[in-house]
Amino acid sequence: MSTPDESRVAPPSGPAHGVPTSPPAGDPRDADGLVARLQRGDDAAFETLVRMHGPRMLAVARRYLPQDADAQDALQDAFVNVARAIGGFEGASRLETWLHRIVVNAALMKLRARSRRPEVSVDEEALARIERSRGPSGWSSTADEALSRRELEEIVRDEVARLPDDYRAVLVLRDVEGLGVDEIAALLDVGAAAAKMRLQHARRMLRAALGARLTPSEAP
Amino acid sequence: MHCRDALPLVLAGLDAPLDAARQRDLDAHLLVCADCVEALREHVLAREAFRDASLATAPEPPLPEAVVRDLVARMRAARAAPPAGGARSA
Repeated sequence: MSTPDESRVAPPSGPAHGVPTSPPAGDPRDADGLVARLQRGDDAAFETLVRMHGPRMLAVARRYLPQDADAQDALQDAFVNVARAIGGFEGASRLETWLHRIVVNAALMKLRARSRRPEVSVDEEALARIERSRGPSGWSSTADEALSRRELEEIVRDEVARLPDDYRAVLVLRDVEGLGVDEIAALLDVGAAAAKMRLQHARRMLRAALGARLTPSEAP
Repeated sequence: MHCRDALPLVLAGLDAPLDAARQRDLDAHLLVCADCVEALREHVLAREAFRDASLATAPEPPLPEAVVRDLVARMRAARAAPPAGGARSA
């Protein structure tokens, strides 16, 4: 069972994570009051917590687990872990940060449980061939000229979702959570060299996939 | 430097600073190699687009009522039967 303090994952900064920081005491969003009620086993507090933080936690889980059923499973595991661990929550981190760690750990645990199979082998030759074949007029110009930023973001997100689990996870941990290679290695329980290699393979696979999708096909 | 040596450095440099000598060699190669510049540009563009997409500011839709009820029930059950090992503090 993952526990909340196993990682240093914290919600990336930015407006998307802007849960109000200091609502008045008595307000259901008051984090300190909510924690106290949760620790007392107040039934209504569980529901408030789920309603307030569940949607964001599910979105975090989906970054790692694009299939909705998997993300929902991770969310369930996360809230069960919250219920078990809330008694020990001392406020050393913000409630939102603590919840973020828990759901990331739950998602990673689910990925780990699914990954009891040999790691996806990377077709080095195919990747290298694609990288060699692409000239200076690659897809970045297409992205700049033919797509809005939002369209590009949607395509990139879609292609990341298609990556093998292990590769998607390292990209999320690095590019979204902002963790360093050593932190990623510790979270995934692999060596730093393996984490670095996964990152490089993930980036190459993503670039190749984007190239296939965004590079105009040549006329016959 | 050949492209086959430069591309791993392009990738490595995305995730950790290169040492000064390698960075110097890579910079020199990028001055004369449009392919590797394009590779760097594509990797950076993909990384930024992925981060921005993941941190999009659109509010998340509320959880369906059935999901809320199920999660609350699971929390209550877990709270009623904590694991033997106990929980650690944040």
